[in-house]
Amino acid sequence: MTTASTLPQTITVALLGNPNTGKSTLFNALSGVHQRVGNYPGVTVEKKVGRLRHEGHDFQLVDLPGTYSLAPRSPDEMVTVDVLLGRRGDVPPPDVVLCIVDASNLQRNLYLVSQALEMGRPTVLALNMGDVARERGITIDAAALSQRLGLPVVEIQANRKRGLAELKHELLLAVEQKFQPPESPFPEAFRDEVQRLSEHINSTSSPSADGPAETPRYLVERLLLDTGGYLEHSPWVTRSPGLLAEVKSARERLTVAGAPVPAVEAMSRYGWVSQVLDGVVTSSGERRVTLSDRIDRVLTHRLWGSVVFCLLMVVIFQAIFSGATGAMDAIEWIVEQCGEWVGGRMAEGTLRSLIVEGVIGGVGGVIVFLPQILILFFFIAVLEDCGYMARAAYLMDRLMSRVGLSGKSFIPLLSSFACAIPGIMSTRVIENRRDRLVTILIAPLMSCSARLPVYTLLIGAFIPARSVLGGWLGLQGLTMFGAYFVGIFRGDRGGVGVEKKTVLKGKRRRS
Amino acid sequence: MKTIAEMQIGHRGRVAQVDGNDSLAARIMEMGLVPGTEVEMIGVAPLGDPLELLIRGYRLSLRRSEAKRVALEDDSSN
Repeated sequence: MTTASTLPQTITVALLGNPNTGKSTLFNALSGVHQRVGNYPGVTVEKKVGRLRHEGHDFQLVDLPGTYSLAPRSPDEMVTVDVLLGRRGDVPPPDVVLCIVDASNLQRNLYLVSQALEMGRPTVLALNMGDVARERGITIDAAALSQRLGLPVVEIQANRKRGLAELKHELLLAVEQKFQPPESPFPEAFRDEVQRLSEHINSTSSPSADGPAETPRYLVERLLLDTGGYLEHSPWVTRSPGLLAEVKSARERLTVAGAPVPAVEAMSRYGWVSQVLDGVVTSSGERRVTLSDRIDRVLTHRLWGSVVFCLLMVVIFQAIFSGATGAMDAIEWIVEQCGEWVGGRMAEGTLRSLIVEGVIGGVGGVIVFLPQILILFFFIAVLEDCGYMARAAYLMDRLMSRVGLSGKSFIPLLSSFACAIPGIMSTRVIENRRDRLVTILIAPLMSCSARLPVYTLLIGAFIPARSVLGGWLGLQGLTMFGAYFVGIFRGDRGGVGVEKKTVLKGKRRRS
Repeated sequence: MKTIAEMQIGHRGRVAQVDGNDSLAARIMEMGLVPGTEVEMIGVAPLGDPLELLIRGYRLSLRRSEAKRVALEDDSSN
């Protein structure tokens, strides 16, 4: 805890928010080029840390994965919760939490804020996308909102870099002032049960060298609410004998008391959100039809939506397939020339072989894919930023759900037909870890363009050039189709197989 | 009781309850579908799934299998 006079040397700010609220834009606007991207040790969760200076103070900005909720059900969400609670050794406990919310969708966004406030850390709210809200006829009284929440609320526009100076100023003030956590939104019966469980943990836990002394109230709440059983194997739970039995009977008592788990959480929090927003947000009655709504209507239309989608996919596919050929040939040529030039200047032997075939050939074999990767990433960046990616996922969800994936896997898999490498790299847009890994594992089963010459060669050598089906279909063409089909079919079955037989046994769910 | 999966496009209703107490039920409720919430069905994806709903001023897409778990109040079918 910090007081007015003793500010920490570096102020750690945790950046939290729902997906698509402009969180990354804000992170980039605040930290500029001073960013480091890595991984949290032990889990494949991206760790982004940025640095900035304001009024003579150093800030360390930790960008947490975008999430709708702080209920840990996957490693990503567990990392977020652990960082906020200061339970990860590799990130200092945040001095202040910066919560970014979408002004046009406050109810949904304040759900996360309600959970974040239970972390007991000073919190600053950044109200982003006010322009979208105004366009939809929504007015927000930011001062009233700030008063209701008991938190500083700063209106910003991350994409135009507006309000950032004030935001940094408020972050500094928030660290200096003592934070008064608001009252829990849960009913009394629930809070009593949490209290009882905390006491049970404190009295029964066997001491441990690595674990923190006290289990935060938030985690105890989570354990009580976690009907999926994700937390059951956490060290702090297994260290306390009889805890799970206690949790079970607490849940039974809560059902009788009219606060059934897990419904009680959403009901309490949304109840709190409605209270906070009552009179603070006014909507001009009817939802206004904006230009974006009209475009959306076409893009998700039964017929036109599919037509636009197919056209776009043809363009992307064609661009990766043939648009990159020139550049790839050029790279190949350069690599070849390099190899020859070096080869001609070295004596025959192991070293020459290592440099020419190993280093130059090896690196060349990788960078030759660069044009395809760049083209695909260009399209994905454009589609993602204009919001089409969400529409594409919506359109294709039905198809992909058969394989146990969501619509978001469609574009990575489709582009794997051109080349699996950019396809695999583009899976980073899939937030759900399980879906991402399954997509990565089945992407190489799609027949990529480099296999086309191999197929052609083998088919030319082994399949006779006969016509079948009355002469209008060639046997060779049919075999080619078969080769692609087997790949897709294997991918499809593989998707289901991978899901069932490997470490990814996690339950199917939407991201 | 009618569920969200049976709603017609353009119809409105009010959530009565979400079936089950597993993590999927929790997730559906986290999205804002708690008892008492007004729901409007605004569309269906071209392949027939998922559904697009308007709740709490934002759009939520929900698979039919998930929508089947959300029961509506009887008197609020349109």
